[in-house]
Amino acid sequence: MTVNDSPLLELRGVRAAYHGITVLHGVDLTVAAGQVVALLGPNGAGKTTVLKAAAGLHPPSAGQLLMGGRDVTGIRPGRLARAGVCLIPEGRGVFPNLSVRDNLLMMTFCGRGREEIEETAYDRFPVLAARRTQQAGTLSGGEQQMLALARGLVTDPAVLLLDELSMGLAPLVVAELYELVAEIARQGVAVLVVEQFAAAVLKIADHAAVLVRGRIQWQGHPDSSLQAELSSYYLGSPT
Amino acid sequence: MTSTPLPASRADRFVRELAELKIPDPAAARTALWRRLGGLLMTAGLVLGALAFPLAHATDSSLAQGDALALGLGGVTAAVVGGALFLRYSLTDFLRFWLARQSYDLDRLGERLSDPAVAAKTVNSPAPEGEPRNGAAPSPR
Repeated sequence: MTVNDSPLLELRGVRAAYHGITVLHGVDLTVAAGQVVALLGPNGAGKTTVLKAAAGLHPPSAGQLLMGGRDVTGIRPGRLARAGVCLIPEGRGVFPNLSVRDNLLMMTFCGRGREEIEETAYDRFPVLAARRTQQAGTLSGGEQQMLALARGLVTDPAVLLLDELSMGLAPLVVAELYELVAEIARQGVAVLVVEQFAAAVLKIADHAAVLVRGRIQWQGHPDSSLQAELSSYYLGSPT
Repeated sequence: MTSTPLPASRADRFVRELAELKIPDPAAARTALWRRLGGLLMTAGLVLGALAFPLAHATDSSLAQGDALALGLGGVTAAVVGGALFLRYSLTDFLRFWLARQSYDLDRLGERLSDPAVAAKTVNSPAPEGEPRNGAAPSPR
């Protein structure tokens, strides 16, 4: 826990809407330092909107966003990013026409030097060091996701928000990436993962929540019973 | 499963930084309001200015012409102020990204110019097949 024992990230009764259509109906979620929280749910449940609200990209229409116990609702996302909130969006969010190195150097906004950024990234992802001059768009899906993770990690995040890390990747690569995520969390980073590929993320998650139509339908410690129940949330009937 | 977290110094720093952060009132809507107000003023000013011209020509009374003149000047002023507001709030976001890109490019240029050894090494080192030298963008295939 932190200096004041507050969770690093807390959403309290968060409601959010797009053009007057409410998509989140009072979401409550907390993520402590070093914890991995998996937010699961079917397509269109509002998972990405939860992440956007947590990153400050989509201001809630009601409810509160708290970080370390401080109400930061409505704060500009840039200020949250500088403080240590990092969102890795769905679809990786790398610049495909820039080299791996240039993609990493774009993160100098966080105040870290070039050498430090490269060293941090290549130490954790040696495969990127071998491809530093290669265009990011020509990397494999897994490598692009590693680059996206590396771009996030070099900012020294305190809160890491991951959106569909497994999208379009082979199960083995997904497992490898989630092992990395677990390792990151062990260093004290609060990790909130939005995922449809539940099996992989539940192996490392300390806590899970199921979001259906903008409402948290279930949350608690992930165990084998959740796996069975998930299908009813996703498909409407248990297997 | 992840093990129970260690005492997180980064987390502590994060909480401290957030505690020290001065958080203004949510101002996202205010920017849009100023932009709309600017657009409205600009349009209203132009309309007033255009309206003043026929008003002044429609009468021989110098008093009425004076009123029309004042209306016209007011319209021009409103259009200028509105235009300035509109530009200020509509271009800010665009210019912010442009400035970030410019500063990154200048930074890279400075790095190359200030360290010829690195530049020479980069130029002389064999680039892997199909990859650009100096990190430059490759020509389209």
